[in-house]
Amino acid sequence: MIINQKVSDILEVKFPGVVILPDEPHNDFIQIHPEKWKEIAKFIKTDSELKFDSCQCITGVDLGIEDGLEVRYNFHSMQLKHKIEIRIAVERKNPSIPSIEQVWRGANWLEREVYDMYGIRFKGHRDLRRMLLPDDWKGWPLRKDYKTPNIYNGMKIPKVRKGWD
Amino acid sequence: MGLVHAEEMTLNIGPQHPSTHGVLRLKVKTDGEIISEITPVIGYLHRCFEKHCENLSYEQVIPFTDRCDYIAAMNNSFGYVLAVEKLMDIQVPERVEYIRVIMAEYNRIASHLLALGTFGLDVGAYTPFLYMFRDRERILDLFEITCGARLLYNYMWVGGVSHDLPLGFMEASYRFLDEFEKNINEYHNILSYNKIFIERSADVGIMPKDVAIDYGVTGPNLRGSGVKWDLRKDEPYSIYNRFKFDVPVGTGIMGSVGDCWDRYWVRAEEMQESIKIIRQALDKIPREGNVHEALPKKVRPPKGSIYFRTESPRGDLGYYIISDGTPTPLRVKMRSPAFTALSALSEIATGWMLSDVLVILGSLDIVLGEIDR
Amino acid sequence: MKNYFQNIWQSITTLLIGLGITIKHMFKARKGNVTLQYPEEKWPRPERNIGFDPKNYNIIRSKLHVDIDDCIGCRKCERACPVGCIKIDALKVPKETDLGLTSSGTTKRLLISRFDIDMTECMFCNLCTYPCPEDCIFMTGGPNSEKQPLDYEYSQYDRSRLIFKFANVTKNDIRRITTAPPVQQEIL
Repeated sequence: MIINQKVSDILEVKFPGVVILPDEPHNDFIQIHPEKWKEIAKFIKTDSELKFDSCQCITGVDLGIEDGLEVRYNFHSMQLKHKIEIRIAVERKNPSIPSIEQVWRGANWLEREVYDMYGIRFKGHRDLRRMLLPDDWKGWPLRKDYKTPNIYNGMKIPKVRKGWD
Repeated sequence: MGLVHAEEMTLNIGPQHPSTHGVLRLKVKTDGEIISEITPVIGYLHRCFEKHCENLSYEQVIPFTDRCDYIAAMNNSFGYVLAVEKLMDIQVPERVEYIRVIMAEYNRIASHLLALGTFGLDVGAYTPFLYMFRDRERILDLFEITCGARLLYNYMWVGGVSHDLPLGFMEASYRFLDEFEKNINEYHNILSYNKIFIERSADVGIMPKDVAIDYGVTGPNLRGSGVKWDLRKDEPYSIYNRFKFDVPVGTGIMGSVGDCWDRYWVRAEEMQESIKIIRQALDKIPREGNVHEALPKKVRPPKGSIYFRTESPRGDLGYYIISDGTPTPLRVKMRSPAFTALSALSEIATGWMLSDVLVILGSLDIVLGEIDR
Repeated sequence: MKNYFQNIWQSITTLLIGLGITIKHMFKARKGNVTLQYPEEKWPRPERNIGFDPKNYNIIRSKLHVDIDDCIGCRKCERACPVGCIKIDALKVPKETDLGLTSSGTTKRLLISRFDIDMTECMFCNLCTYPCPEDCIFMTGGPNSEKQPLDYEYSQYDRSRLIFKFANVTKNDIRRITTAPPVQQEIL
């Protein structure tokens, strides 16, 4: 799609050095550095040529223990009817990324869900709590190095069944 | 004339409450009867869908996608199989495409019937609920003869469907559609135009256009706010570009654009459109064809990732699938439309009366299975 | 003032319209009835509105059944199950032992010492029945009702009794078959 190239070019002019150019050319996504993410987010939401007014999906990804974590954003423009995927890599140890909760209000819960599952801290998020899991849950379940605990609050996991194994 | 100063009261609705449509807890701060703050607490139905998917093969995920949105299971597995097919670059036979569209639209009607019925129930109208369940029952019967199950079908497969249409499905379909079209008018008379119902739902819980888009609300809720956005029309997947249908939007006939009545009305109108699509599909479907023709021997997509959206009865249902070339997916993320719709609740329900909260919640048509996953 | 009375008038008329529909339904309730009077009437009911005979169903989701005499112990169903509610133990037997043929004529090579299905965990996805090469695991009723009549009323007082054990070999049988008779070993 042309839109990826377009966004990439516009960002390169506005925020030089922020787009990580891919090793081999592709049109699926844009990889960017996390530092100025919030300003970039504000920019692509309001820029008249881009107008990504809807934050569709925020996906946390663990690509394996060596490769590290990644956050992938899917944006969509209801006015110009185009969409884009933006990827931001974060380190495994103490991962953090600027929050865009104040840019798109829909990102609030989506970011909380990523935090819940991967432990990625969103800097500037005003209400960063666990979303789906209980508040006293330990660990980040969707990371590849997560080990299922044997006991949760005194309850045994998994349950032992009679007449089976 | 001294003003009565009262403290704010915190009220807890749920998790077990008949009007929360599942195990949802609402922390409500009320100032008298006016709501000053509302916080949904979710996660009571969390079944680790995404963690499960990491240990299952691609086919085995399908029954779990059904269980996410148990009201519209066909649409959920439809989105999933389309995403995997696109990742694997499979062309499915013509007949399969038509069968899928018919099933998905039937499930959309069934889901909307339940949404409208329970919305009426939230407002206090019990009778329409029973009539709508009668019609929903007939659709479930059609599903039952096709795939044996009434709620969780596991019908759509990667590259095909599990069974061909049974003998007599067409006749039964036409008979049902003829009857159902008449029944819709009945529903309008008994519920939609009822003055008490209008008073309860119109001009209540208004969701403006920009708020809906900002929160990522999609589907009938967004269309109720007056945005003409339907993935079936704007970004046609499968064979939706072959059908003629309209996209109903809320116009604020009874109150203002984006109120509860508009969201209700969009759903009611969408059932009509679904009937149109099913009729066209039933007329055009190829009579012959093997539905298992394109089933791959092994579902093992090449390395890569995909974000694929379909229009489920609740809105844009997205699947983010990452494949690492092994038979099990590296990551399956489900972007559920009800999740974003519920996140907008705290915005649109603030400032309304306590009794309106359940009406607003009912009009958003959430399914907790999909929110918690 | 006019508005006030108009509202009342509208409420009454729309209510009466609704009431009219309800009364109409009251008299034709018998015809469009979809409720089953359960213990007396049982599902599937062929004369149901939709007009289908259970024999014409593609499949009915009900209790899983295994024709253990046909099972060759390939474990495909065990691998296909997403929740792991099927457990199979298949033992290797000495080459000369004759375990018989399945109904489709395949030679059985493994002794099924355990074939358990935990119906408390089964989620009726039907995925186990498709890969079976001998069609020996299936859901009862519907098109399969000749092989096994429909059974969906299998509630029990104890959960462990919902684990259905299909293997029909005793411990003595296992000992007898797996330790090959000495006569045959001499021939070898």
